[in-house]
Amino acid sequence: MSLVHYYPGESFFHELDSRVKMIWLVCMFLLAFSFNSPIHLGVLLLLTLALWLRLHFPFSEMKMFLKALTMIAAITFLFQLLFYPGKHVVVSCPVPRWLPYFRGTLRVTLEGIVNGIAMILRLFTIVLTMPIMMMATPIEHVVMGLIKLGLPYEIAFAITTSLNLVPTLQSDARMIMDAQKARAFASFEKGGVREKLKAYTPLLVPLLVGSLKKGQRLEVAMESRAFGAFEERTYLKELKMRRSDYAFVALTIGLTAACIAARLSIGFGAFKL
Amino acid sequence: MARRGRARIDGVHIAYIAILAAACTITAYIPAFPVIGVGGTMSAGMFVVPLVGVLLGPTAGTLAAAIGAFLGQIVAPYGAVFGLITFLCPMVGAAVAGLLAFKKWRHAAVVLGGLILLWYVITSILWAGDPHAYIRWYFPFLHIASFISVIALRGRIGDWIVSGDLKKLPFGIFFAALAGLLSEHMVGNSIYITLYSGPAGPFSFVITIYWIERLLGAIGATLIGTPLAIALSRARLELGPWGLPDRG
Repeated sequence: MSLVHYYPGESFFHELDSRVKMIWLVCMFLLAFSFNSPIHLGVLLLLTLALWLRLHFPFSEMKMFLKALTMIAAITFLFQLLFYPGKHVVVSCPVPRWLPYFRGTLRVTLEGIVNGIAMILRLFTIVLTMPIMMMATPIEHVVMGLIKLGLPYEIAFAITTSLNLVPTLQSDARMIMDAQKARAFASFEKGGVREKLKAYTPLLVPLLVGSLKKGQRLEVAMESRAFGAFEERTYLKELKMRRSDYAFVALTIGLTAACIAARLSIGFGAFKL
Repeated sequence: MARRGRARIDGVHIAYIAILAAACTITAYIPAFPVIGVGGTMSAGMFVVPLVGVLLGPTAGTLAAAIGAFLGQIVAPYGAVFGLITFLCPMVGAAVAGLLAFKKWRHAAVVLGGLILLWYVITSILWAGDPHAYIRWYFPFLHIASFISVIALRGRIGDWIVSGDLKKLPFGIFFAALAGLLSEHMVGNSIYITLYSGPAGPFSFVITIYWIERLLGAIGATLIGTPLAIALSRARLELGPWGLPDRG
């Protein structure tokens, strides 16, 4: 698993408060799900890609996402193509009658094609917006933003702690796997379902027990430092909203609300044939 | 007495919540089995999420699974196809497994039953006019079976887990994990149909494989959960319903 990194920068988007970026993310999510026309979703995806390029994030990162999404996108498109009910038949070909559900004829409809394209655009928009926020915001600012939005400090602490533990547990898992492989235990890669089911016990049990022992040590360390003894907490860095942050929030929320209102009232962004 | 304090949530120290959240995050990226016809893989996280619920209970376990999935979707969002709400699926799975392990079977039945009902409501609305919509009636057969088993076994699933008896414990973990995994599945299906206008047709194929996938997940959780319970008691780690019996 390769993790999304923060790429420092001085762009307008980098400078925004993390809460503002979270609101932007929620608005993008709402817009992606309120539109179902490929044109509107295409514009949304183009805006996302333009932002990605504007922020000078490496293309190799995007390539990783595109690679991971290709199979999901292909299956989503195929499902819509073959199964989306529609009236405008584009292709109709006979298939063996023993194939279930098609009743001897496979019909591809225009509605299926258009909806398939729309769903792929939606998928890419949703998945690509999240890393933009993460690559433009240090993780501590994200957590700080969550606290400012009302998340209890204890939960925010659990989030940062577990984020810091991810690489450690990842290397623990790799080490256990290598140790098992050194003992000629190759079921992780080769074995059948039964062997694989059995293979995960010697990997996950030591991993979980080892992790929980780490948790025990962490508990002692936290208790000895009197974690949670004080109701009020102070922070080294405080987040502060600037005028530009307020302006960006107002613009984002306003545009999103207008688009959703237009979608509900006049069908803006809806796909019609 | 259950231990309390600002560093504890439902008697569980935040350190354990954080550590198991991290375990959920990394195991979600360890491939376990290929899923036939889909080109994807089932991850080892499928075995771990219900166990997190069983170990930490319905509140702390749900929180750990939610944090783990949330972190997964922000630091490695390759599979976060439901965007910001991707974390809801494992969260619900851990909650149901935790409720059953901690003898709150009525709550678990309400959640699982509610999700089945939600499936029928969503598909009745969104699949109206779809020629394959009839599949909605048969599709949740395993979910209904699991719901019936929760009702029929009443608090016995929790009793089997709490007993620590090696003859009963695996059955307890299996039923709790299965109910958790099926709840997670139902949340995922409902989100997929709602957000991606998922047509009924593919579900005619999914019905032939999902039950194998979920049963394998529950068997995997049992194969890992049983030795884990033994290992935890030997390591003197007071976790799980057997570690904190007063919270039942």
